[in-house]
Amino acid sequence: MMHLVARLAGKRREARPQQAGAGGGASLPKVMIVGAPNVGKSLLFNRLTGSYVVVSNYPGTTVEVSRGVLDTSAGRFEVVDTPGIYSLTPITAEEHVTLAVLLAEKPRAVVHVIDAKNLQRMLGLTLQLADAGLPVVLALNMADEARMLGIRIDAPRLEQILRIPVVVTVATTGAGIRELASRLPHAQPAAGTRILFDPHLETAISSISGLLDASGPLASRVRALLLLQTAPAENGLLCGETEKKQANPIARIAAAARRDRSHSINYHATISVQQTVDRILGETVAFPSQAAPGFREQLSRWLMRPFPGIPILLLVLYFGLYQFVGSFGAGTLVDFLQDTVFSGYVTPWVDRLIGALIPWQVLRDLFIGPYGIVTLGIRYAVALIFPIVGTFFIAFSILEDSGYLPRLAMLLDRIFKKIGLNGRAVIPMVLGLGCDTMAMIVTRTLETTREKVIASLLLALAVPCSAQMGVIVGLLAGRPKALLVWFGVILLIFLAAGMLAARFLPGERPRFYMELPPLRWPRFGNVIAKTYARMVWYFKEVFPLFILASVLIWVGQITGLFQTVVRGLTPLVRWMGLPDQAAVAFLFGFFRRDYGAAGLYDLQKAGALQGNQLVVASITLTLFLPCVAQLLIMRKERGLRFALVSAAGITVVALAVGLLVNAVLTGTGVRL
Amino acid sequence: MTCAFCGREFDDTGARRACHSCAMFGGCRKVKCPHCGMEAPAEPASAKWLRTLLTRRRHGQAGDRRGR
Repeated sequence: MMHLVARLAGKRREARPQQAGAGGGASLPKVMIVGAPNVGKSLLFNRLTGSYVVVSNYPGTTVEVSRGVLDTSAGRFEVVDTPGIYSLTPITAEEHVTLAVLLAEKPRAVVHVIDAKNLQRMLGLTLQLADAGLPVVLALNMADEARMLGIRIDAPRLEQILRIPVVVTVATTGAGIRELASRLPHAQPAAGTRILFDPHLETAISSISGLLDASGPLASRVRALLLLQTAPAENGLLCGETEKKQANPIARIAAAARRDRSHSINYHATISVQQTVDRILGETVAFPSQAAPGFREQLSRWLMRPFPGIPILLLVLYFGLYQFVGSFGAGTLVDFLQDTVFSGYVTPWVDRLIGALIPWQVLRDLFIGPYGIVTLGIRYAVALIFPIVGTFFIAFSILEDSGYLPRLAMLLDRIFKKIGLNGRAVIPMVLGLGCDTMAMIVTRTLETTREKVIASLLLALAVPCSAQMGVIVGLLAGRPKALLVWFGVILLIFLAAGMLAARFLPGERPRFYMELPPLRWPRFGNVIAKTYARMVWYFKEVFPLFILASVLIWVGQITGLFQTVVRGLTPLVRWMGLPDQAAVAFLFGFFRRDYGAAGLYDLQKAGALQGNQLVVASITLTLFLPCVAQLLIMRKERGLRFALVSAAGITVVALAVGLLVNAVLTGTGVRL
Repeated sequence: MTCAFCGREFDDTGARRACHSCAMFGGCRKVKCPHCGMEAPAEPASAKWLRTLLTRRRHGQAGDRRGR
């Protein structure tokens, strides 16, 4: 960031003649328009400046910044429409540019444009900008939509509390623009502090701000916080040689502050900002909950409450997973592709072709043997996995595009807390339903080591990937009782393992806060594009591996290793009341989870598995040893010892649960 | 890009920063949201084309209906 600011400062001078020529505002005092994306900044900018605008890439970047001129009775101003920003800790190139503009261009006024419907999400940045000592004017835009939703904002009271001008605007109609323009020339640097952090963070902020020059572009207090939140070498917050000489002491204070905390500084800062926002909104805004909420808002709240959130979740699982993926994808579509397309056309044709081309039986087996590339690898990928993950990805994309997933995170937060996690862990868990290996990597986004360890363990043990789950749901779709037993046992193991891990692993209970994007109807184009992108990704991922598996099994058969391993697993399989061939499916499962599930599917189609056996095999395979790729990532993320101990523990648990379920079903005489 | 989980917008630079320390080094062909960590497969050009086509067609139909 430092480099970016320095580069921008240097190149901006070169760009000025062009800006002056085009926009005519080079020497004028500046008004910056800042705010999150899609809040109406550009429309408001156009209202203020008219149509004569210069749009150019910010020097050294490909990010566009628009400049125009505003004429007021108090004089002329150059108005700068900055790229979207969510906070003062920049992540995207746009956010870097906006912070660079704020730091380098010394604005006469900063208009923070926010969506009046989403004050809870956006007021935090207003507080940060005001605490930074910038001359902020708050524009409550889209006020008409907020009013229609029943949100009542006491703007004078808000102005009194924030100690900055607050103007209600509707950029689409131009309402409030004249008042905004009239108040801009009188904007003053906001004095005082609005956000108070916890004592530990305040101590670190004081220590760092004591080393900073009070005449910097942003208030020392805010710069100190930003230095704590970001890597000092990357940000452009140290100004002048005197401050730059303090870089090392500041880095030491920041490192010590980070060490002392159970969560990241960013997390603690966000919580404090949000608490302040909630307090202010409590005094200034009447939300529709106090009147009558609209249907969308009501539905959003329902989705996050145990009742009716959990019944709705069960409905989503029933229709989305059981009916659509299980019955339609794994039933109708798989039957058509397996029986009609492959058995009727592809396999006989390839049999004839390979038979004519290759005279050696051992080489023929590589393509059309029991575990051949065509008869097993390609058939599994195209006829079995493709329709199942396809239907799963359609259902997932609909949920994703509707905004249901963050609400699911809020719903599950309470349950997840009991197992040492919080709602944030919904991300790796949901991604685990796509691919556990990728989800294992995502556990690093969790706040504490304790959470990472628990989430990794649960992913490896009790979260089936989409294809594996789809095949299992398809296998058990005709037997609702069997499906319920499978689901119940996996859920029980998930919760029990999580609770045990949370009990024995020391650490603080995590807190969870997240901003909710709006709930909306899924858009057809988005759902299709997302599903298609996922299918392309999955096929590129799975196809080579399935073929590789067939080749490895072929080599294993020639060398005898395959038969030896299968023989080793056979006694265990027999103890669980399963046929010997189930050992092959378990071996497949170690290579890839979905490959193992596909093996079970074949066994069931051949009539080798009955109701109880299906349940026992499905439970064992779901809990079974993570696949090779997941094991390797687990070693990379959590270390070799954790990976080996987890793998051993998981294998024992999977087999023990399989044996127990078989014993219980046999002992009680239950027939599923 | 807009994250499907947290609803925030981000660009390629942000996504690359989020991938910076990952063991896959981008080999997973996915895009990670720098704000919340949610991952989604990187959209091939054909998916973007499909989205534009479907969105445009639906908007066109809506426009036709309004016109009538």
